[in-house]
Amino acid sequence: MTTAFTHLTTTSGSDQPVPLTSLPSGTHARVACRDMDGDNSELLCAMGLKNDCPLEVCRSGRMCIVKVDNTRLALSRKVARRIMVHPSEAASA
Amino acid sequence: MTSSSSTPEHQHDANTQSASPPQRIALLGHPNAGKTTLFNALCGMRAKTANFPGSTIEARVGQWKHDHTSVQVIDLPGMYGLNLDRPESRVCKAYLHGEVDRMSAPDVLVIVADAANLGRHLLIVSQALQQGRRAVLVLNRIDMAQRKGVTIDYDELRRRVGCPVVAVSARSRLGLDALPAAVANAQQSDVALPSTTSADDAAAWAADVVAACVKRGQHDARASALTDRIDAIVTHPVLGFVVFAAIMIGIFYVIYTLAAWPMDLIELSFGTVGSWIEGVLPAGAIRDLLVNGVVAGIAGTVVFVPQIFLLFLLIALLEDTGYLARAAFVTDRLLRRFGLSGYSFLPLLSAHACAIPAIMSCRLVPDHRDRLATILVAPLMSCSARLPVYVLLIGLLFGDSPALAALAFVGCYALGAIVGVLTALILRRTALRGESSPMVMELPDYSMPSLRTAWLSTYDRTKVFLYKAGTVILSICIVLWWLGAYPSVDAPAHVTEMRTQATAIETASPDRFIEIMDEADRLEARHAQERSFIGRMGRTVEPVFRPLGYDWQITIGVLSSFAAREVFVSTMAVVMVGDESLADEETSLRDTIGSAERDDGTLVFNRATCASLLVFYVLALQCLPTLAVTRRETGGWFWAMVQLVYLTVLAYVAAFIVYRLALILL
Amino acid sequence: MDFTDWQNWVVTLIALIALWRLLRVVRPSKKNARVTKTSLTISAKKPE
Repeated sequence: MTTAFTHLTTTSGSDQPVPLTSLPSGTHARVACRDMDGDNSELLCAMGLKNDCPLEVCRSGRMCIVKVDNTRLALSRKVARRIMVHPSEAASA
Repeated sequence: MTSSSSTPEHQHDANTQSASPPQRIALLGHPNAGKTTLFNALCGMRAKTANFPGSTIEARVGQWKHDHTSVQVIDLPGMYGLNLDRPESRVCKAYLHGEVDRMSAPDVLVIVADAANLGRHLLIVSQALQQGRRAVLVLNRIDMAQRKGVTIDYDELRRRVGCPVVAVSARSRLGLDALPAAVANAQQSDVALPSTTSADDAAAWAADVVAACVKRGQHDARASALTDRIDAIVTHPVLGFVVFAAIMIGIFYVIYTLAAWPMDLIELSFGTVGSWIEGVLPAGAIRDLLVNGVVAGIAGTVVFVPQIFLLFLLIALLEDTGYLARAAFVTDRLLRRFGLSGYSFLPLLSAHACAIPAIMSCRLVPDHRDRLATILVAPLMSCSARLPVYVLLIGLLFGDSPALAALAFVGCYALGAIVGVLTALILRRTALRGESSPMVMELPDYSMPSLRTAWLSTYDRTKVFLYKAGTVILSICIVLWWLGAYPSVDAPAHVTEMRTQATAIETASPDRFIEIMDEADRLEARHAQERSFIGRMGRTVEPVFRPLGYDWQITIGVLSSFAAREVFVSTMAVVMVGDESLADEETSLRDTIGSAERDDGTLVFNRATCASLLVFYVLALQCLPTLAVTRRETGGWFWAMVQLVYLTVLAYVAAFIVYRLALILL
Repeated sequence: MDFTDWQNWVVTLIALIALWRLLRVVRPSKKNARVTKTSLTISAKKPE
């Protein structure tokens, strides 16, 4: 399922963060940073997308759905591509 | 990590509050934290619980009675943070700072958080605790947290947040007994809280609190797995659209089939009331006003209630299941191509019942350009008030072909929707140019909808519609009746002569007598209408509408329905038939006005005129209450006037083109 | 119009009240405006 990223993966995630949009459905990852203005960043943080939090990509595409802490968030592509994550096989959302 | 910026942002009356028992409490928290359910549990007031994020954008106020005391409870709009640049955050902050007129700031802030997802809610908890108000932290859905294997150390949490903590399940009323004591003992937090300006500080503090207070054990993953399975279908790029389309078609089918008989019943009841008044009161101006102004006016509003009620009920049920958030997600893809977003979906759907609540629900659209574009195009969606006009005109056009008539109905709805999204696209590329804020929304778990909750919220919304639209439509009907009834003129000579002739044959031929007298009544009513204020206005304005194929009689209909489009049918009944009661009998009205002639002997409602009129009513903003609500929601007359002028010019030009084309083709 | 018929005056008065109500919808009175301001969302930032 996450074979495309196995070369990046360590037990705690890869060294180089990748945009959330590059992950296929079913991938687990950890948030590295949110490359966006303060207000949007704060909103995402408030909704649960905090730095280093584990997430699971439930649906990828133009709009993606991620599961964070038992909550599903729908993110437009514009937002998702600014969220940098460390893909991780072992992590569990 | 946890900076010591515990200085309250607003110290003002915090010290004086602490001694007094609370008179007013405010519920604050995330959308979907269960604030409104708690509000309902406390107040028993009719407030709604919605899964669609941000649906409690208007605060609800109620009274919580316990232990012989009464406390005012304010249910604030759900939001993710007090400092965000979003309408609901600004509203809450303004309220907590005492900046909302005639609404005093609360004595105690009840911060509602989801016990199963405490970590996500702690940011708003920390911000709320720093507002300088006495506070209580309510952990809602404690039963669900237990099912998910979450255990919370309440003593430690109380120590970390510096205020009383109560665990409840608002839906099952579990733990609510402890709330009065907690509210009475609410206190201003005096612990070190993270800076309100740093999200990272707050996140780190929240992580610390969760690590210290929350323990996760084995959890029941069935609900989550079910949501995942349903989501795989309803958010699928192709299947999602199919499901969405099926649900929308289902909703409209149910509305039109189920609403038909109560609408007939309402029409029949008001007809009976009108006849009863005619029988009881002596002939005169007051009787005419009551029958043709007041009863017709009330009936004109109430008749749409079944459709509006059903649409609101189905929307509320869908909200409660959690599907509407997915529908917004699915439609976002489509609407974004036209400069709108998924947030616009619910207002545009509601606009098919009535544009007034639709424009009001635009408050949940966070981006102000998206919001404005949605408000401006909402009246293009075919509302139920257009239905009687569609029924009349399509009946005249395709009365002999049900298939073509059905196609024309669909065409009217499609035309409104297509012109609506194209208008939005033009607006977003010109006057409202700029990037809209990207969509980020929470998709709640699916759950069984509560019929009671949906029923109560629908009742509330329908009441608001009846009050807001009903009072305006009633006033319009009364004013129109007066303009049509005055100046009263004597019956023309030929009518008097007809009556004399009729009287002469009354005993010999009673049937013929009634026939002639009826005809005389109609001719007199038409004569009076033509010479009334509104008739004169019709004659004066006729040249403006002549290029669209309308004569003075249709012009009266268009003018009188400027304030409310549904008035068109009753006006036509009065102008052409002289008897408004025929407006309820579609077929006879259609036959009569279908054969009515102009001054030059040609048909008033020829096919080209009907087509032109139909397009005019699909596109024109013939609704004064809509204009008033746009003015209120956009904060001034500018956009309301833009909406009026744009839609009127658009309708005029489109009707002109259709008339010219129809003259050639039909 | 028959000026001696009191009913005409009554219905004209009612029509004037209705007209006044309509005008108030279009342009709310200051008193009314203050009341509607209690709706929390009115304090939200207006669209530019």
